[in-house]
Amino acid sequence: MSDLLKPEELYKTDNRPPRTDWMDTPTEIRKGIACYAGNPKSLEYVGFPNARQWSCFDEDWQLPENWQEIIHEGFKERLEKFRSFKVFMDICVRCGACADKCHFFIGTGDPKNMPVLRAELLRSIYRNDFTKAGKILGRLGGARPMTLDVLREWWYYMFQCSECRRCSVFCPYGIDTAEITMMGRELLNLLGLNIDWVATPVANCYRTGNHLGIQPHAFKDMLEFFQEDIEEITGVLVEPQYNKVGADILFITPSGDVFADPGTYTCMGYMMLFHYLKEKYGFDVTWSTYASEGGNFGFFTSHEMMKRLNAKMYAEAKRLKVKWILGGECGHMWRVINQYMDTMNGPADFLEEPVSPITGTKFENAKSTKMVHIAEFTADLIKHGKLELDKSRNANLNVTFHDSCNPARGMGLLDEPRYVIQNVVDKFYEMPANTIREQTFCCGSGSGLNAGEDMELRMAGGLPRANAVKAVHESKGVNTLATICAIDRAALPDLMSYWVPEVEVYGVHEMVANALIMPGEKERDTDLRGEPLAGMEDADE
Amino acid sequence: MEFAALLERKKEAVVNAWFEQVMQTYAPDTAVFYQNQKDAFANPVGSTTKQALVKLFNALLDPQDNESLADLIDPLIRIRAVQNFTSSQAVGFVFLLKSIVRNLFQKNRKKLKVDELLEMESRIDGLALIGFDVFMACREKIYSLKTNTERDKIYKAFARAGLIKEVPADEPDPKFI
Amino acid sequence: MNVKYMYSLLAVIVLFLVSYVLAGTGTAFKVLFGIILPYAALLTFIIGFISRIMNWGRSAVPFRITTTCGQQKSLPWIKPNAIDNPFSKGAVVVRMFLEIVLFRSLFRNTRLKMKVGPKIYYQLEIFLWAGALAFHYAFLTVLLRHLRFFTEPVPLPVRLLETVDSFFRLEVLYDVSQFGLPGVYISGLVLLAAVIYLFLRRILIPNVKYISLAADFFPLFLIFGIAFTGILMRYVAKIDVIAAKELTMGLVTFHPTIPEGLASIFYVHVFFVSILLAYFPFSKLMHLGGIFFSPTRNMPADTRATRHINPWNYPVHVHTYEEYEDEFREKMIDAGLPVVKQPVEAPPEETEEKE
Repeated sequence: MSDLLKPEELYKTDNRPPRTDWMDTPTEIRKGIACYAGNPKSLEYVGFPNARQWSCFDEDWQLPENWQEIIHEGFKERLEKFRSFKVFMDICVRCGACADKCHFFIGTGDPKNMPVLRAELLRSIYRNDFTKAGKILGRLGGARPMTLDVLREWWYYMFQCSECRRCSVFCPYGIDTAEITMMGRELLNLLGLNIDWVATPVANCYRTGNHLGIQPHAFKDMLEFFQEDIEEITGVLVEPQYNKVGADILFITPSGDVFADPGTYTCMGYMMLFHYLKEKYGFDVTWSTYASEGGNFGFFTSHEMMKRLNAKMYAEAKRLKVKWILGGECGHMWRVINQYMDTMNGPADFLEEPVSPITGTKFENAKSTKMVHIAEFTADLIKHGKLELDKSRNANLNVTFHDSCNPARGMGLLDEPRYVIQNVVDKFYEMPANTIREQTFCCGSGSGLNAGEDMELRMAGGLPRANAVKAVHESKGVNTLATICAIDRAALPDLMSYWVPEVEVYGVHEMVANALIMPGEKERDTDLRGEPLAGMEDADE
Repeated sequence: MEFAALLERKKEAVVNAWFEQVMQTYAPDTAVFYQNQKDAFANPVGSTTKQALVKLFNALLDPQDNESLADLIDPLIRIRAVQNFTSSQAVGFVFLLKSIVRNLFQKNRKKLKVDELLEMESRIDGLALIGFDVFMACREKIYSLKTNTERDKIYKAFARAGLIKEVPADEPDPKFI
Repeated sequence: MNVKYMYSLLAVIVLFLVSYVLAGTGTAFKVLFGIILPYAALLTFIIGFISRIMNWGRSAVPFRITTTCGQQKSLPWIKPNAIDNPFSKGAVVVRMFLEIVLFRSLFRNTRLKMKVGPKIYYQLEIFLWAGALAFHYAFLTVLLRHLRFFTEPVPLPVRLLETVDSFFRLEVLYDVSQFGLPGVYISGLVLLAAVIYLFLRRILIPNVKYISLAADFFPLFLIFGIAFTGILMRYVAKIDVIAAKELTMGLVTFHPTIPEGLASIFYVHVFFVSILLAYFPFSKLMHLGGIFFSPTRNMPADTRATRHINPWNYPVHVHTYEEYEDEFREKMIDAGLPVVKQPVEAPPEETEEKE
């Protein structure tokens, strides 16, 4: 028998890279992981430099002649402008606490997806260019010069980070890889290196006010479709107001809710809630077609672009002379609003400190920014008994809640959505403790990575999240994954259909609207998705 | 003495050796993390792999129909189908079991019949083929997700431009009434 | 063989040999190792440390990017997590205090794993927190204890610390060793053990090994060298403590002298400390200062309630409502959306419909 070929000789099963140091391991840009390059027209539209047709799979990236100088100068400028960047470049001791906290590392197994190494990709250049020790010790001091290979590595791995901040929770110095990725992406943008799934939404958002380039009339069309659907399901005609000067409140939500299932059902939820409040309490809220995007892909591009896109919110609130702004369910939109908006585009002294016109609750925590999260708003309504709810209409839903990264780690909005959910559904189960709240796992598609071409990356990166969902699906029969993020609503259905196909993705306000008893409504036999309600399966036909 | 009984007795050692070798298909630093982090939620790859291998080995000892084998191998292949593997690497881990089983056989060959080894090896081959089916299904799923993304983009663009007239869902075409 | 730590190990061994041999050759080198280098190193440390801090301080803090690790303060009936999502400056102080004194985030790392089971890996992870804590506190104790070489009379707190530090070990070892050792300081031994642990961790855990740089090993070897020579002097070589203090007091009072009879090992010890001091500001050891500057930890998470000012906030190009309406006015009117400006005449030429 000994002359038999061994199976491992027949198949090259060993996928291990040669045991080289990470600095010596060249980056192979793989299909399925990398995203397509940004459309030059989109970059040009918002005035980004070095726009051109190129592909990351090509040998020649058609970089500007002096690209190294551009990176060096850009690096230097950002070190001055962002203490976070400088301090995070300096103080990491490589203790390894973050190493296994990244969903992309856990899922893909690629060592360069350990947060510490992702940061070292930039740190090695920082040491070389900006520190004495790096200049003197070179490689021994962890420094290396900026080369084309390094640039490719940056590009590959800066777009394998979803800026979710999970590593930052565990770092003894609070080093936040999201900051480092943001800086890395800013630098790449100086060379015209961006991905299309970020660049084109940014241009669209700038021009039409939303990611998809939906023009104003089409935006209204969409909402009119929803009106028809709602009327069909509930018998009530809701009438949203648009661009209304003098409304009490301006409502802004990510445009994903307006165009992409299942976000559209969440959007219908908002419309129904507003109608209910208008009928019962005279609530006066307006939508805007100009500021029709809450999400901000500028955030995934550069601080300047983030500010340029975000500016529309206050500008529109000022123009419409509203009292304050209400924001829909979204992830990074809320990090921008919570931690950046007031600083960038404030002070919002033309607005009033937000007070719920229905309950009289003062939203003290939003008194400067003057923008309230709809989960805070609705939780307050429910607490004061202002909503008539029929939980039984969600009886088919066995719910768990996915904390979106940004509201969790860039805000701390954890209990408000849970309170709302528990008041509109009966069956609610938490996923394991190390996968929720501040330790929540990213959907794997955040920060502009929810393209189609990087599906393998998204599925691998979303594995830790899907795995936790699967656990409650198997142990508690969970069939509904509730979220408060538009990217989640766009990305998680794909993730679920690959890993746990029996689970559907819902927005929180879709469930609220299912349960909400509208004045003058007919007896409902389906939910917003047209699925029969519990006990109504035979009502049709 | 029967080979199957021997394998049954040595089950834990065999599965551990198999797991060990499957982990060696990852980068060393990654492999250690996958092997040692026992929290299933902090380490879905390692824990899923381990569980699947245990179940698969049991199924090899106690032959099952292809469908249940496919169910058992699915979680593991599903992960490997989105990781940095070629098709043969993604599925080939099944064959790693062969040399483990063979070694065990060699050590006790005096007491055993070759037929039994061949039988076991055939089952392993069969499992690999099922693994390949599952792998293809996973890849097809990935591609369908990719095409859906593209299709949705185009479809939505057409729809927004008002170029699509959908067939009304609730009423049949008049000419068929 | 791992080149990264070999270079660092080699460097420390060479430094040891050079200083050991040279310190034995004559007064000139004793002056170098005992007076010139310590002063130079201290100066480098002070200037370097301050300039690094000032350098960080010079960089702006444009945004308040607190990492929130718990429930925010929002509605009055929802219980906020005051420490992990600090709303006030006071809460930030508590958060920073726990971070700096107890390495809270690092501990968060281990807590969940402890629950799972008593497996070795989890214990190793706990050891990262425990080892780091042991290392830093032992280092601090050793440092404070050494104040007795730099003060006359020795202040009470330092003497108390010495007593506490040597208390347990004294009794335990007395019976066993019968050597009449001077009180054994537990801190020195803990420091040595912790350094060895931190080193082993870097070479035994593959992913930590993978991310380690030569610069991560050098300070470990150096500190090992310091602790080792210190322990050697105290328990084995038994150097002349009075002479040592004469030298150190000379340094403090700016009347440096080289007393007779100090063994070479003492100069090696002082040399290593000098290198550590001089190396400090240029290395990752600056995390000592850096942790106070970490923007994700040292600011309150109250950005929606209190406006944060960005010192370099500059005006940017914005697509204004007017531009937007100019582009889409016709369509808005057709769709029944309100517009600010009515079209003057017959619709102007069709706005190009891109893409």
